[in-house]
Amino acid sequence: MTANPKNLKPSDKSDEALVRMFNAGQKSAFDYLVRRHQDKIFNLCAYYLGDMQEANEISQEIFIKAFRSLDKFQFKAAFSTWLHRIAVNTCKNRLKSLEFRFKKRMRGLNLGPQEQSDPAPLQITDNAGSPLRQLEQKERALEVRRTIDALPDDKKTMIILRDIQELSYDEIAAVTSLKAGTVKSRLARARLMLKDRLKHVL
Amino acid sequence: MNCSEIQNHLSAFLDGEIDASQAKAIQDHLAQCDACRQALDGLQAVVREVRILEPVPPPDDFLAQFHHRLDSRKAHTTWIKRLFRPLHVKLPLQLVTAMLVGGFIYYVVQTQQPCLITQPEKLDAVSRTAPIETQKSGKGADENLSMPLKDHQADIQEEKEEAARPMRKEALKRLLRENGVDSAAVRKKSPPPDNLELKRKILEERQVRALSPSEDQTGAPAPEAPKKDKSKQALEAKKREPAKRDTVIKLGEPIIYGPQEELPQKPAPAPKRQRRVIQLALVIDAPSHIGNKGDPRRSAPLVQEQERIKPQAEMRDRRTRGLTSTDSRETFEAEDPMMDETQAPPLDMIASQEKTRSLEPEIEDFRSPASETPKKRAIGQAPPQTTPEPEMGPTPAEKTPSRTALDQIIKLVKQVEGDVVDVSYSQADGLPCTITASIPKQGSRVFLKALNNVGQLTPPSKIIDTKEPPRITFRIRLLGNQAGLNCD
Repeated sequence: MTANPKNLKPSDKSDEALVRMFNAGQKSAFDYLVRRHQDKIFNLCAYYLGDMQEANEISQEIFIKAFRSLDKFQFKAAFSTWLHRIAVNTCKNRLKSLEFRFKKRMRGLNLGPQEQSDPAPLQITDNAGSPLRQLEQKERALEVRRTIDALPDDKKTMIILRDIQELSYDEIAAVTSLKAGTVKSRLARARLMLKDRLKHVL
Repeated sequence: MNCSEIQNHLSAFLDGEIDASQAKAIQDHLAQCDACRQALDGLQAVVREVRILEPVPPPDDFLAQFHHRLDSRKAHTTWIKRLFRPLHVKLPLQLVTAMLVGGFIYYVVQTQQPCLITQPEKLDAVSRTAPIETQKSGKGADENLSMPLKDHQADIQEEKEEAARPMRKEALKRLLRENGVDSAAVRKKSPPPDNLELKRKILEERQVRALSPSEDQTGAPAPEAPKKDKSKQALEAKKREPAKRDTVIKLGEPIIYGPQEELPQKPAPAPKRQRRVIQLALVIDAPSHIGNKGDPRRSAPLVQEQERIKPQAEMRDRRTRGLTSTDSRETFEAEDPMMDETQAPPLDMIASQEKTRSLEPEIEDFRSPASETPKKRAIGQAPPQTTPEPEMGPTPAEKTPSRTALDQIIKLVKQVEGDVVDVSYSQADGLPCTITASIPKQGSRVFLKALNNVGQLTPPSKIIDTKEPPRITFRIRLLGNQAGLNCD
């Protein structure tokens, strides 16, 4: 027996139901959408832009854009796909901007607290292995992030959307407005390039 | 499928995004091909490395920050919406903006247009218009020509109150007619060389008028006009001075209208001017000259003229009083009977007369009595006053060309309102050899031209430029067989 959608809490409602609530005038419904998708969008922006502050700025910008244009949402694709499309386009524009290029040249990669010089003490557990092993993993993860950050924009988009955001090929095609075959080939080329650049790590 | 095709599909094969038949074919190939299997292993390792990357979490207050930014943006957008969205605000705002933009464009176009005219053209426009305006207002050319156009127009009302000077108007009209230009042509299409010629002629006319003030007797109130507001005119002259000088200096105009302080009506001190001394040599008995004593045609009038010597007392009195209009008139009255007494000249004399006329085109163009006087004398008439003054040197025992020339020069100096400063005589024979005279700048050109009639002048007379001081000292040395010797 399924529950009546009207009786569900807003946090349990689907994205489309919350969008309808928002369009019906219940603006607080958008907060549930933000809470539900902020991790994904923030993660995408962080990997795409390579900087926490930029990721924060741009992810909020993405949600503001979504808030303003949500009345134009036509329910043809999932809300997350629509939101990812806004996110990818905003991040691409930001990458192209002169201000971002200048800032990136000055600061380098900054992907959060795990990148700081004074990291938190490592937790030694049975699964984590030896501290040396943990340190190697962190170094490897940092190198992989740097390599992804250095990829060309279109290949970076493919790697992030598929292997970090774990979108399906169809979702990637919907987000990037590409055909499924194009997504396949581009993703294959992006992975090959990444493999070549990570030879010394692997 | 070969290895390259297999490797192209390995990425999709890894993700399970491939149809079953292709997946079966790839699996069969991988079982046999080590290279493709290694490629798949490498690809799997890369994907695994990327997928184990930890996600980057957003800040805890992400939603609060979002609300803060959303509210600030909303306030901003509502202000813009309030400004532009309602029609009763939007339309007047657009209308006012359109009018402002249109007005600005009109202003820019109107102000840019005069700038397209180059600087020399500007002066041409001013100088072309100035004589015409002078003609319209009936004001003397010597005052108005030196004014900038702006100041001139401002003073038109004041000038209209003054009495008209028909003689000057006539002279200007005649001048324009003789130059072959009507007023429109002068305004618009007169090329700069013609324009300069026009200005030069007007300057000449002013100088000639300074020589013969008796001409103004027809316009009764005219002589009193300059005296009327001397202080006011001096102030105006001071106001006009800087702009005028700027224009002249900037454009390098070779001939300028004389500044106000140089006009005979309003002599003003020129403290910074340097003294200018011009030394000339006058050959008084050159065989080719008209005034040659060896010419038999010249001797008779000279003898006649000697009989018409005026009393020395009268002459001295004149020098002390200065040349007034009455004196000048008396001079003409004295000359006219002499002209009547002279017989008609022979044909070769007419030819020489024509030659002299061609040598003096500028004076000829004016056709004023004052300008014709020296010419007539040069043709064959003796100068009216040839009496040497006793204080200038020893009493002449006999008339010599040098003494005659001295008398003529003294008279010329008086006519141009100059002063004879010194006359030196030869110690050997007592004949005059050097005459020093101070001549106003305005009369210096005429004076030099007239000197050409007394004798052969070297260097040529075109040595006066526009930057001369108000008074020029001429030191004329008489040369020739009959002149004084050992003057040094």
